[in-house]
Amino acid sequence: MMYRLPHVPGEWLDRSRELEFEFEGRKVSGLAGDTISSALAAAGVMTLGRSFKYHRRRGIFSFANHDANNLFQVGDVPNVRGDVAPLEAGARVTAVNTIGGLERDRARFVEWLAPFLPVGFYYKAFFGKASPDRVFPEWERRIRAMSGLGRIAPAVTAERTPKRYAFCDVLVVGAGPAGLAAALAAADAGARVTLVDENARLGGSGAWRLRPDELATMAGRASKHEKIVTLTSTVAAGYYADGWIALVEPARLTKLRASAVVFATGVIEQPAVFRNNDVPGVMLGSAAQRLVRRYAIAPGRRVVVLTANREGYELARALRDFDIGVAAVLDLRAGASGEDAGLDGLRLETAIEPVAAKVRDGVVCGLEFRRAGERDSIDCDAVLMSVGFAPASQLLLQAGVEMRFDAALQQHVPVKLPSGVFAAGRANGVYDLADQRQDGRDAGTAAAAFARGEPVTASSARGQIASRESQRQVSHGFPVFAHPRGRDFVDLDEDIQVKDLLNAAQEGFDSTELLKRYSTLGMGPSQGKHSNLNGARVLMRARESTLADTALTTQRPFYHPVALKHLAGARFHVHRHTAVHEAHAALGAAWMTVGGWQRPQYYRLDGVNGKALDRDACIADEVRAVRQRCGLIDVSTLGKIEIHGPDAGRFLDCIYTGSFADLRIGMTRYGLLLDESGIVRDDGVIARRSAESYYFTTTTSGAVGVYRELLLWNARWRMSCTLANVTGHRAAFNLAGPASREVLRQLTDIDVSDAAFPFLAAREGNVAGAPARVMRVGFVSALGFEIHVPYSLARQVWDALSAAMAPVGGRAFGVEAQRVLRLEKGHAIVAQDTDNLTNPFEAGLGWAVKMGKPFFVGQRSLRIHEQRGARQRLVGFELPAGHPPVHEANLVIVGGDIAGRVTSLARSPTLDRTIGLAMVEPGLATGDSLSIRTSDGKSVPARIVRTPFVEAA
Amino acid sequence: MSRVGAAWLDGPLAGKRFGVKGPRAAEILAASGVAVPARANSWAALEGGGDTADVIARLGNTEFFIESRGDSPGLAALESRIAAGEPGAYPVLREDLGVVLGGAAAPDVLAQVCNIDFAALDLAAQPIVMTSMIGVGVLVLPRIADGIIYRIWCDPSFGSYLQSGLESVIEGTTRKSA
Repeated sequence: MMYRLPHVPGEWLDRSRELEFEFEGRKVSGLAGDTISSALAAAGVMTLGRSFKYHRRRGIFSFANHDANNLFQVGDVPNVRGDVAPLEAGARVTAVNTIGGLERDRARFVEWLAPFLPVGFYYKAFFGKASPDRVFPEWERRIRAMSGLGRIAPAVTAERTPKRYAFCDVLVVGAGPAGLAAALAAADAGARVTLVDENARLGGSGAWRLRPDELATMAGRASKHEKIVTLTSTVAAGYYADGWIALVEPARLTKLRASAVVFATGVIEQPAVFRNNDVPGVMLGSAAQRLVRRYAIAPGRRVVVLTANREGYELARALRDFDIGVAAVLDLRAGASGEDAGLDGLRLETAIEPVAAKVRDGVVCGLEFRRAGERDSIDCDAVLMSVGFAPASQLLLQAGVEMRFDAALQQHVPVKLPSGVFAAGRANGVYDLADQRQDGRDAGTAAAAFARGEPVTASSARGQIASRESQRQVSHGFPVFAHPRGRDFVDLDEDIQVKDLLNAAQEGFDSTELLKRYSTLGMGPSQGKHSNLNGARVLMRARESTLADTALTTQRPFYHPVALKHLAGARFHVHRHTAVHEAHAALGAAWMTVGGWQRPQYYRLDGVNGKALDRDACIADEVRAVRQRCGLIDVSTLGKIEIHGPDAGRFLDCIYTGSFADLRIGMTRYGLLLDESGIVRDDGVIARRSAESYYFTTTTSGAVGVYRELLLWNARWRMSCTLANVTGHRAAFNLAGPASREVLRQLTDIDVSDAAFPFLAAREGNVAGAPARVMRVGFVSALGFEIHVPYSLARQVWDALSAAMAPVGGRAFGVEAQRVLRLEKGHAIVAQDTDNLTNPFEAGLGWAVKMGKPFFVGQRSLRIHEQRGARQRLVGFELPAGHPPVHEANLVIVGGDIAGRVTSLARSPTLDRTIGLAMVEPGLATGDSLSIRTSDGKSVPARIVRTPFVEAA
Repeated sequence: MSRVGAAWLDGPLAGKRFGVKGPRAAEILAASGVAVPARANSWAALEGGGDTADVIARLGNTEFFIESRGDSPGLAALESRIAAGEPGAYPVLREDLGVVLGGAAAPDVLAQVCNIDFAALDLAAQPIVMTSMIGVGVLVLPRIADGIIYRIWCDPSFGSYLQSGLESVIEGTTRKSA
């Protein structure tokens, strides 16, 4: 039974503040500074959770932010890690993964079924003839009901978790003795240092390996050092290229870029494997050290230390110093090599093999062991295992560090480090405390020098350490003692026993990667931190091989589980507003997002009886206004680019399929842009403003990409021209319809008569007091003017145009009406009526291609397309009256095969019928009709018609 | 917007902005009496002083951005000259939204919205930073004026998004600081 000790030097507790909380429905008290698990332990609660598969009782095991069976539901928050989560007053805490509560968990019957749940159970039970498809859904339902940890509360308001960028010269991961020494050395050398540790306070294993005053001095210096930023309770969860490290803090995610990184990540203590090694009261020696030193909790009143290294003896001595009863020290090794000095009469047994933990009332009550073939046992209330370690190497491996198994150490150690990456301390295979600190200082000094740009090779620092004698063996080579009746757990997350691994190996899953996937070894919340090494040992022995013959697995970042809120961040959604956004809103715009812009789809209208018209009616009204009178649409979202210079025309000739060097000043021409494979990429209107200056538009969604591509070509070709992207700085409106000329005439000093301003002309002057570039266009109607003005003056122009067109019944129209209007005129929209396989001949845009030019992007490919002939054609069609619903992307079917697809479809208010465009096989394009299959499988006949659908509109 | 608190945002800033781009832009600006920054990605003060000074920023070897916070006849004349057409120096319409971020917590705000190590900049070299801020391309001019303040410009179509985004981060940061 665990209990709270009197004050322990260096403890993390505030004994003046008692915190009351609720665990599984009963009141429990802890102290400020406690974690959930430590508070429960201090209260004598031994069972903190149930295991994932068999629902066995579990207690504190590693107490190192890895305890998969100490996950709790705290209020609405699932899977809170009890070994590190600070205790909060009033918290309502329950164990996860139980049915009916922790003590009376009804799912514990699953353990009785263990013989029927062999390794690879899912694969054996649910694949192949044994499990027909009709059975699996039922299995799936049951398994899903049983599995999963914690309860998500969908009604809870999502937290917005900030994301932050940070920078430093040297990042030190791990604030134990080596990490502190590294940070101080780097900072003393002038580097900006960030020191990160997953624990709530600095010190790491120094809490029990350093004297309290020594630790306080080092931690105090680091905390106060002006060059060191310390981040505690922070997990460095992933290493990415170029020194990018993801730091998961309690309330935010920091993306830190470091010029150099020192990994002083330490080691993860590994358990011994024997029967019932998972029951509450059996824990790692380092867990006991943390309980005692940080939270003043005795792991038991009569403990057994099961050891194979010096750390176990140090633990025994420390416990005795705290007046905690030590029943015996049991050493797996034949002799203690003098490490037993100072035990002063404690019972010591060597060359023992643990057989089984004895269990009473669900918790440990003794340890049965074997010595020289004879069985013995000791009564105890805690078994503390100190038999070896594995390096916390996940980040090292992600950083590209090459690690090799060191047989003398029985540990993987770094042997080749990438530039700017350093390792120190026990992760580097250095266990002697003095050497560890020196190793940290060396690494910190080298990292600071690297950050200053000095040539440093990490291997040289490692080489000095490698020669030291301090690299003694601290890990037992095979602390696995299989029991004929099982319950000898290698992986406590997934309840994997020794026989599971042996069976998997026997079935052919005999590499670490295959074994993991077949058995789920290391796939639980602790991600194999306590199981991968022993699992590999079992596998290697089964293969009659050694750990030296296997490589470590590089876990993908984030290697430590991270709450999704950290990944979601503050959730910024980039969007753009045109200069007249508020005017659209005032007109009742129904919004849509196009290329990041918020645009009016249509404007809501009230009908004659005051009832709102539906969407289609609103759009139809806008279409009729343009066809019959006048309409105004905000086309500010079009890309707008200027090009200047002697080579401007030649550059455009090389970019676009048409000819522009010969374009007359004051005129515009349609521009079609291809990629190098001859596929339609973008289009727009190009106006020549002067001999060396052009102004042109791109599609809304293509603006950014087109400009970037033009810059790239300009850099390659080195022509004498200059490009400027003014997309967001210039607004544009299309005033369209038969009355548009008269409306515009009222507001401009430009002569807009047909003779002075013919179709495709471009003029500059003032419109409503703003300097404007105006182009005669015909995208939606036969008569139309595209008016481009500076962003800051756009609202006055929009308002003036709106006011001027009101007397003639003009009105604003949105994107949907524009789509109908252009469809009536038979104009294709790039990326809607074309796709990533469409060349201009297929889209009916061959007229815009001047193949006789010396060169343009895509020309060579287009010649091949031309010779090969079209694979598809864009055709116009109309549907019969009363047709069933047809949608864009519905398929054209011939003889049961796909022969095309509908690319555009709309109800034409002008024609009072449904019209569309379809990309079809060439043979169909010359016929009279198509058969379109609707979404619900009906066939609809369509009549092929020539475009434009509406001639002189 | 009052300039108090852990972090504050002032804007949109009034003023006239325009750009010049082209192979002879630097030459023509210099010939017009403008103190052209010698290095790319740096700025120089033109007229006035403090955080409202007129500035010219060199965005590359051949591209310049000019902001006049007041009513500078000299700059108006320069803009007219450029707009009239100088071979090799072309006017660029700049209708940027401008804001100023300041306050003791401004670096913390920037750290949440921008992947630039502003602390590592040598402000004496008058750097200008072209980067992305919560997904929007921006120019940032850090300078010392009653602490470090950051003049930020972006495409006006992103203006309301950027400004509201910064305000929400400031609110969160200020709440945390309180």
